[in-house]
Amino acid sequence: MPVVSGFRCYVSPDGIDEIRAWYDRQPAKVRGKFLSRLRTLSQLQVNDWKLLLFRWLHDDCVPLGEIRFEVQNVQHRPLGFRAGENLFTITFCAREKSNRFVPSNACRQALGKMDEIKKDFRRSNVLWLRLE
Amino acid sequence: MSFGYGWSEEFVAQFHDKEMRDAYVADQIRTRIALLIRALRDDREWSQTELGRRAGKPQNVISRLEDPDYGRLTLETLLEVAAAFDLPLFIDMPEWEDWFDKVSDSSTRALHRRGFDLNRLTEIASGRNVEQGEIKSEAAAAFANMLVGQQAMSGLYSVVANQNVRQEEPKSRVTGAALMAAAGAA
Repeated sequence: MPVVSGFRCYVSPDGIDEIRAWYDRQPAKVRGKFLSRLRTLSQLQVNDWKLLLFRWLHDDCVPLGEIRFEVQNVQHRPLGFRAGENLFTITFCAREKSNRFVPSNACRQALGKMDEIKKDFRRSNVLWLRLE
Repeated sequence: MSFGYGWSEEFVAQFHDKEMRDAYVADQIRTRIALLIRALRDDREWSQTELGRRAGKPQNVISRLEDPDYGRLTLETLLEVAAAFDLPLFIDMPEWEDWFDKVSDSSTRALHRRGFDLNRLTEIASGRNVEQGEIKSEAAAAFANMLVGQQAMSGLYSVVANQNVRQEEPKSRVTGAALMAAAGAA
């Protein structure tokens, strides 16, 4: 099955791919699961992304969505926005604890980075991981 | 450069770390099971409660099975759920290239399955028999032609070849029980 949905990642003003930097800091179990989830999501149309793999957020977090996965009781929530019909840009990797994001301003940070990308498309990179 | 369908040299190069690759495999399998159960249930328009009733499980067990992060699946439960869909279950520890091919498609389209249908299976079996019968007939004709040709050439060939035919020992088989035990131990 070819990849039907693609990913991009936020790049900081000094040119660092922050999602890649986050990934590189993670233990192997998190890296394996993150790659697996992106691979699975990439084979589905973004319209078909749904619980429990993914969730669109509400209220102050609109129009963000979260990729959901757990590793050793840590709930990981990479946040991002839909940047095209089948394109999702990850802007910030948060965690969730007791139904709250960690850090608590995760949505605000993710939205701010989304605005930066919308002003300048070069502030995002194509996902460096290979999904096929 | 692609090695097989849906995976490239760059893709497999990401799996050099064993712990990472183990995590990847575990998540692909759990996610696949979760998506498959959900897709089969949706196809049949069954609620989680309905599937639970058919599998002899409470609804919350089905809910957990559809959670890709739930890590405590048992073979027994999978067999019961598969039976509720009237589908067989297949567990294997294949070569990596086969595994990459097998899990290369998690799209909704790839998760449709038909339950047991004796008529359909009989048709498939009879179609296969016809095919094999044709192959056997062609092979027999070719072999007969070869013998006629050889006899015409020397007039000597006869029974000697048969004396050299060795009956192959049947290959040893892994029993279902051994496979289940291996899967259970894993």
